[in-house]
Amino acid sequence: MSRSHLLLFGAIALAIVGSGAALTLLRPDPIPAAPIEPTAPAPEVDGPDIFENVTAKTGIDFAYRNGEEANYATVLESLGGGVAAFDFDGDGKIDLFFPGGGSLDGKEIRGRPGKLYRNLGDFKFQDVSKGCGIADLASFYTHGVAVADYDRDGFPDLLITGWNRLMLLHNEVNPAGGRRFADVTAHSGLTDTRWATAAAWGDLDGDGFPDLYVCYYLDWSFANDPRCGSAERDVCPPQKFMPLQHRLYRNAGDGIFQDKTAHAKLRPDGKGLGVVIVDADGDGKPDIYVANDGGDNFLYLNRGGFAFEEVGFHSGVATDDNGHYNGSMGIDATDYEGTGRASLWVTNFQGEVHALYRNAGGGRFHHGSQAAGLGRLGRSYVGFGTYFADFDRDGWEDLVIVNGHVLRYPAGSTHRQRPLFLRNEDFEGRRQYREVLGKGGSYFRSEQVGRGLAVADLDNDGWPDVVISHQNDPVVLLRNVAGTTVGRNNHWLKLSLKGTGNRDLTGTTVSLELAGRKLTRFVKGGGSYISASDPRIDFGLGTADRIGRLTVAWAGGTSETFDALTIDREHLILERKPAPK
Amino acid sequence: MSRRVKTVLAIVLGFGLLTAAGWHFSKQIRKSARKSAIRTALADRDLTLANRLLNEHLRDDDDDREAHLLAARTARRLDDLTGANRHLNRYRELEGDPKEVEMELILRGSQSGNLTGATGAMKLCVEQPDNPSVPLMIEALTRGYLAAGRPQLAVDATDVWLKRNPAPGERAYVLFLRGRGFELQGKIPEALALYREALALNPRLQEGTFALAEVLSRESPLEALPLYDRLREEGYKPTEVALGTARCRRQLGELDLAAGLVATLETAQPTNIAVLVEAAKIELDRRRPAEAERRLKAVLAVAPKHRDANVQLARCLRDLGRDADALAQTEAVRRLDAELEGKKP
Repeated sequence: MSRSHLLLFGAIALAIVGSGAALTLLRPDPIPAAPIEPTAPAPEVDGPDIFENVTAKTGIDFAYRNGEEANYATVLESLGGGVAAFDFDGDGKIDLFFPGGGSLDGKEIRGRPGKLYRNLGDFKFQDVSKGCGIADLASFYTHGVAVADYDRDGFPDLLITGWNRLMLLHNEVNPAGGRRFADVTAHSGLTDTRWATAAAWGDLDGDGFPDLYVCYYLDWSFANDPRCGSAERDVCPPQKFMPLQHRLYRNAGDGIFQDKTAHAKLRPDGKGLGVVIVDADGDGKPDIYVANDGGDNFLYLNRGGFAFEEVGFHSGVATDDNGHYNGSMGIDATDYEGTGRASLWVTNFQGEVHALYRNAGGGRFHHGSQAAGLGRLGRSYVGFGTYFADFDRDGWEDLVIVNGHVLRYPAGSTHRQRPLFLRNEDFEGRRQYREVLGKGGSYFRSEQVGRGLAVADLDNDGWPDVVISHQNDPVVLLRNVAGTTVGRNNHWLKLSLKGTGNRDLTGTTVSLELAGRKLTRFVKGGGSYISASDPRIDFGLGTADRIGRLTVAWAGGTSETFDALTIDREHLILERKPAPK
Repeated sequence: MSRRVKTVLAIVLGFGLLTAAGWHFSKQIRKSARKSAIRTALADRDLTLANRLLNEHLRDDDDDREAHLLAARTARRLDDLTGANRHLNRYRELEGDPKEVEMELILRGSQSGNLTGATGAMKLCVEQPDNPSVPLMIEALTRGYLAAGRPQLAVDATDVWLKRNPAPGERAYVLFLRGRGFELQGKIPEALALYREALALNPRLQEGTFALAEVLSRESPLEALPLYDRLREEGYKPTEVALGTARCRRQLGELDLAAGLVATLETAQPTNIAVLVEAAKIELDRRRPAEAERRLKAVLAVAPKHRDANVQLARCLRDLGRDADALAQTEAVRRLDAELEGKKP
């Protein structure tokens, strides 16, 4: 190698080393990063379906209409309609009633008739609205329905709620055969002309006749209809309106209802959308829990003699775990963890966690949504109809919720939302509700605008089915098929309770000994969202092939026990008649 | 000296000269490239990188007056006031422009929430958008409005900022600040959308990732967890990230995991209020109210008006069955809420 070559090589090497060093010094540390996209929570468990959508073959083709086609985007349209599941003709099969809603053409609020479907068995239904007087009723814009035998004649009656009126329908003998409904509102005194939403029946004074709590909502009318929304007009929040005081009516036993609102010292506020009557403090008297939309939820403890004490705030069920009130809609009560006490539950608005208030005893509740795994759902849902039932018959009550936004153009969420089926499972030694995506069935994978929801054993196969009312979309009937899938080895027990002289039994608590555990169910008034469910008491037994003693703590204080009940059967339990049928 | 020795010496000398020239040449390249990289980092609003490069540059050339001013600004924008002071003092020593020093001090005040003169400054930003000071002013003002609890004014400021059509890196930051403005007004869906938009533009925006994770820890905890995981790997705000992860675990009902995370934090920072309140919430959910009470009392001893601690204490006393105390505490929360309501701007 010549000298000149050597010099050239050295210079090139230096240049490479120098520039390489410079480049090394300038290179920033790589930070691995991928774009962040919103992601839906991954399915947790997959498996066979628990529900089958059987609507098409039932003969029911009905949709609640809210009048949205008039395009006023009023708050009236946001509430939707309920479902009543009840045996109106006493044939042992659960029939269905759906309020019809209404229309808003030309800013005139008109009603739309509801429909009554008679259960023919095997999931076949017949529209009997005409023959049963439903089609002939004066129409008004309707929402909800509540069921009770208000005159104790042995047949369930109907109360329909809606905009600026209530309608009480008496179930009576049809001269043409069967049963029919007659409008007895004027005679009953239930003539309040404000916006009624949810209602619940329950014998609150112990005279055997079911009394009535009615939730009222807002002072909206077309004369008080502010414009909301930004670019597009949208439904106004409840905060834009004044609340309407709820009403408590005493059933005098003669078909007339006395307004006891002042005597019972009901709170003047509250924008009520849900109410359940249940014995919340375990004293044998039914109490009233109310879900308010944009205000504290109320808990009225029954002190006897139509005296009530509102303890929502101090008992821990008025607000969420941050001390803030929520927008509550659906409501229910359950013993979800085997304490024998009724925990309270409300479904809430977007941005809030649905609230499960664990009953700690002594009239104290603990906001236990997160501990019960319900925080997993996130806060994008707007929850309405909801109900606890042991759908898979494993001995623990599961939970269904139907969702759907009230806003047409919701920020950060969607108008249509997925319904939820949550199983009650063990986690870290606690009971938790966990969504089992893929297990609920096709309905729980779809997006809906759900409102009313009722649970009932429609085919009397011992497995609870579900009926859902939607905004402007057909109602859906879900048949529980868990008996052929995940629960094929599980057993059940169903009870029809009948009080002396057909007295109302709301507030009754039923417990069943099973393999060292005690399963507890409650006779409830109201619940879910403006809907009425199968009144029968229902136990899943898991794989146990024998059960222990059944104890019925009848509303009013007396208790009776029943032994040697056969599983996988429905039993008729008569008060003060020790042998069940 | 023999000819051979002379030849060797000439080669060594030549090689040495070449080495020196090469080194000098590469240093110049390095310096120039670094300055270019600094400019790019600032344009992308990658302040951490810009800050590091500036400090490297100033280690080589401590007399670069303009670089010290730039480093002071960058450190201030990163909330590193110690670094900002050091560079600003050096800029002064190097006889930098006193007007620039004054401007920098004003921006520092604005950024930390001192809104004296903010209205005039915002007017200037609107009326003289081409003024070279506007980008720095508008950033300091937006952050100042947020720091001063004036979130709607911050959102308004981002309107002006966005009209300047900032580069993607800067735009991501503007969207993040705008999201903060919405979040502080309780407009969570809008805030979430903005955080997501910001991170789509700049996935490395740690403030944005953290803000999104914090909101999601309540709104959708399953989504928040991977964000916290990423931030933890990057070493971003270790305490806050661990606390957020614990909050997620609690929201998900994974109380044992949550308790484990918070226990570690509590050992390291036994007086950290946020840690103590989160620990108390976990204990309440684990049905150990006495454990919660101890922590909440410790918080309220130093921060008696801490709303969350007051609310949790009311829950705690109710769980403990001390009904009279719970009632009194519930009333205390109501009074506190009324007071806070009165203070709302």
